[in-house]
Amino acid sequence: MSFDGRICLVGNPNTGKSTVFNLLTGMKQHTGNWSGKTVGSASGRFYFKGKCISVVDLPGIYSLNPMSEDERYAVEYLDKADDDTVVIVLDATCLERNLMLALEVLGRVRRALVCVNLMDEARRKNIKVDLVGLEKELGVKVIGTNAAGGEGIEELKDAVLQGGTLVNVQKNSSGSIAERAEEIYRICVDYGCDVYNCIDRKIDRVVMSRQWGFPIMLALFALIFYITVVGANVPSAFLSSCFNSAEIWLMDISEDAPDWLRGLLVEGMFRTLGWVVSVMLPPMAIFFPLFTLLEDIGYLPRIAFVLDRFFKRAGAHGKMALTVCMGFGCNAVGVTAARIIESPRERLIAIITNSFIPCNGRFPSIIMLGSIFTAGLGTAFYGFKVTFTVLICVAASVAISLAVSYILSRTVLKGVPSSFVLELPPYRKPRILSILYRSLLDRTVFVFGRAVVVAAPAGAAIWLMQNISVGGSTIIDYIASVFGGLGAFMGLDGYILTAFLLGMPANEIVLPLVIMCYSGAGSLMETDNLYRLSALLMDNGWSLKTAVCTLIFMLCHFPCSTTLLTIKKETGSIKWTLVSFFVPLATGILLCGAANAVLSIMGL
Amino acid sequence: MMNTMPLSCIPIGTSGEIVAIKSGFKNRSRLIELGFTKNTEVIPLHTGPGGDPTAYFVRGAVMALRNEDADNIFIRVKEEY
Repeated sequence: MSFDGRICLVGNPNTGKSTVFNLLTGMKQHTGNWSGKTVGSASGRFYFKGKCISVVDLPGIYSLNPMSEDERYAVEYLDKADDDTVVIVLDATCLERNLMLALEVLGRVRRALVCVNLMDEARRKNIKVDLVGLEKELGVKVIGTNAAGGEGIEELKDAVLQGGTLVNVQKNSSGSIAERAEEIYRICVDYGCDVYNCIDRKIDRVVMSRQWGFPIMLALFALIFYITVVGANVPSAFLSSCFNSAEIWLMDISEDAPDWLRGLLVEGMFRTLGWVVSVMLPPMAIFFPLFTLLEDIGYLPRIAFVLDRFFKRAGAHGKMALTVCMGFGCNAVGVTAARIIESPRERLIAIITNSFIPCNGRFPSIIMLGSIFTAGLGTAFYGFKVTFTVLICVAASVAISLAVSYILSRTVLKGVPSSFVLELPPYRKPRILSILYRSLLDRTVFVFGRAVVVAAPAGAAIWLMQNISVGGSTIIDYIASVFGGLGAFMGLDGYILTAFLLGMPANEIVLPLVIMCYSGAGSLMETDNLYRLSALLMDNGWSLKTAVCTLIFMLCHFPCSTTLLTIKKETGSIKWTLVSFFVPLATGILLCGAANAVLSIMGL
Repeated sequence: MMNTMPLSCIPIGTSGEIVAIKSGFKNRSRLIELGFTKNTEVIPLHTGPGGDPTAYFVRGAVMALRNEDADNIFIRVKEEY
């Protein structure tokens, strides 16, 4: 496909490049309010006045001397993009620093134009930017935009169509880039914002304070978990009854089909699919958008700020808190996010330990086990108790992740913590409805698609293993007996371990597979009925101990296949991929063994 | 009378001007790119729950540094009356 022009977006991190990109192309690149959200590039195109322009969104950079992987990527692209019009995206509220990069880029590229974004935020903060003056000082076309509100986009497209300005390299030999940036800043910007007393600082003084920083973080997480736990019930019950009716209907219309085919398709594939969609999908689809809201407001870097001393003590990089946060959504994303960590040693630590963080696919299982075993079904304050269990699990996962980081940074990945600078972005009002709607829809489609691709075949596999006998026992019983010894040591059983292995493509299918193993080809399980489920698990020898050990193994086991592939891609090394596989697995086996021993002594 | 001290030592809310970043400090060039340049004004805004790290206002942005890194940046505190 041929284009009438190509542009790329460059700028400091978190200046809204991806928002500008989305606005230009109509695409839906993920955006977030923190430095380092975009770690790879995205490309798209737009049509304007009969022309087709290609657009590339690059990761944010602070200078043309890249320090981390994501920055290296952007700078290498820029060096090769001779024919591109480089659109330098600047944050209107932070021009004093942004201009340094602008001047540096202008000294390196052929055609450029400057887009001063976040003009609305600047107005709100009483920062006045003289765009005409800026244009004169920089010598290239300058457009003011508010990409989130769609302001200035026509002008930007027009300027792009004209191909920006041929950069006239005037060697301002007098003084450094920093000095020149300051000079321009003084001429063009009237900074009327009270740095020390503006609203952001007032919020920060509470949210990051000694007394309140920690409690507020826990309370926010608890609130999100609570909404997830309570909110998932309604759609869960609804979906469950739909799938049950559908299963009965399927059994009716397939009466003439051979038994094995009905069993394989309906009891094996369809039932597992129904399980994953009705029980696992609702919590995933609720948690994810809520977490995205936190990200959009700008809270994630504050978490990194508040938790920094723990990361420092563990010998980990301060930005690892951000990769941990991304891990709550998806471990593969957490692993990719580790590109923002400059030091290779600390980046590896962040990658290896990310799979301890319970991803979105593991949350429903934690909620379910918590509901049945620790909260006690139907007891008072049930929702709160489940929330509390989830909170404990999350805290434990971060603690384990840090403990393993500590061990790694004193053994195979020896070194001292490298220095880092964490940018705390301004708080921004999230576009609540659009985020909720979009990421709810995104997640639902994603999880549903994966359920079809992964859960249905796994269900078929389990059904076949249950119904094919070799030498008097079914395959599933045989495999379970192979893992029986290890399972018994870990306080689990062979079926649970088999389910974890089969669930490697997607963690959300693990628990449904366990239940499939237990329920066999028996009667239809009402998936929304936790009492029945609880009875089924008890019948198969589950106790509080089994639940605790399963929860531990849920946090600490090998990463899912997607995450493993991502680790291979990011580290480019089989060795580190294997380490990332075995470190959490070994941790899980040891912790489960220990928990089993302790709980057995306590007589639970 | 002007007094020079490490950035990590100046009190919250006090404005100062960067005099120098210790040469040989491995993060020096990055700090300069981030706006910690000579003669730039810096204001410590708040510290984390354990007294570390500290968030600083510099060139329109808020940047958090661990104290051992801030030790390497020297500040001239504007004279207090």
